[in-house]
Amino acid sequence: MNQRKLTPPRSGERGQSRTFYMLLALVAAGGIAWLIAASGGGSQSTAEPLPEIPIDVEADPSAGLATGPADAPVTIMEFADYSCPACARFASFTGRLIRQNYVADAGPVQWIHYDYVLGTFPNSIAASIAARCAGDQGLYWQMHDLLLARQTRWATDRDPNGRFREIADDLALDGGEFGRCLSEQRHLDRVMAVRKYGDQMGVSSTPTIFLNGRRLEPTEFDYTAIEGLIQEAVTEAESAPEGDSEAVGESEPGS
Amino acid sequence: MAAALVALAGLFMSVYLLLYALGAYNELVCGAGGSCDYVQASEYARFLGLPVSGWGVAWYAAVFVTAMLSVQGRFADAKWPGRALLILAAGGLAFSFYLTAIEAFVLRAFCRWCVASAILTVLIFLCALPWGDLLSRRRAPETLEGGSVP
Repeated sequence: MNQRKLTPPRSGERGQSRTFYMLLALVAAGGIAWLIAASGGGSQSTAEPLPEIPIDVEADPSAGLATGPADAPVTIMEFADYSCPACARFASFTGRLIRQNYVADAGPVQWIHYDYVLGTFPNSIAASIAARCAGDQGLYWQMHDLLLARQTRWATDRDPNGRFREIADDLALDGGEFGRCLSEQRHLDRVMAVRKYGDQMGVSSTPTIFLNGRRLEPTEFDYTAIEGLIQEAVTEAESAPEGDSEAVGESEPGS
Repeated sequence: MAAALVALAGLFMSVYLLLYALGAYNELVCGAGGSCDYVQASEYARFLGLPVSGWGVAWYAAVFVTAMLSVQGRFADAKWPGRALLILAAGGLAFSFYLTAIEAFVLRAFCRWCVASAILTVLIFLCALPWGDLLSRRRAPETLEGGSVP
């Protein structure tokens, strides 16, 4: 008996293939239209000139925003510009986890945030002021986290204050008071004092991190490395004789 | 065929996320309560120095090209396009599992686009599985019987 393998039936294949290419074209057209529509949102900033730092502003280490016990064995000073993407990446993961695991609940770390304005981004000063205005209502860190998490929404926006008001609404802040604080630029002098202090400390890029006074290398900016340094510093502080612990943390910033 | 369609949709999604990562878009459409900004700003949003979305673009493009080759007449009898697609899909699935685990256990936040991409990856993997081969092996005896001639 001869057996012959039959080839699969080919009827309808051409129609199937036509449907396939039509669907492909549909997906491609939809995708392109969507990418174009998405690019229309958001507006680029006109980049107003930054105000000059007033001559009479003094560098002030206490102008930073501190969280955690003042007598903690470890002090981390973070100089960050609210508009800088690297700062957003650092703050939204590493910074957040360290604050959560080593600062909260009287942990061994005091974290001091210095809102250092680089001068290369148009909305950094406004963002620093917005964070401090939220701080007046007791929600500095919540505003800090949201500003950095939503950085791309306001960093080049023509009306950053409008964006900040949206965030303030999300945080249920007193909108009237917050708006007045923004328009009066209430904390500009403190922001400028931070800038001067940063310059004095040799800061020229952000983020710049100091741990117990030692400037960290950018390679040490990940969570595991900083966690290791914290644990080392805590062990050192525990084994040091009484009284030596006051040597750490050169500043007593207000909040 | 379905793999090519899904890959094309994924390609556009990855291009969108890549453009956002490169600063071409000010805002990432994420829906209320989405954690896209948080996830996209984390250090896990980069892999080997490049945005994860960039890897996504490369992967979806490779899947699309391979899937298109496998439906071309001249490769109808070749087995390598199907195998290449399966290897690519398995690699993508593993990476997708890793990213979803990071979201679930480290970041404790889910970006909707990342979840959507993970679903597309699972679909591509299912499409790449050699269902056709398995079915034709099962049906083979009937085909031979039906095709017998005296």
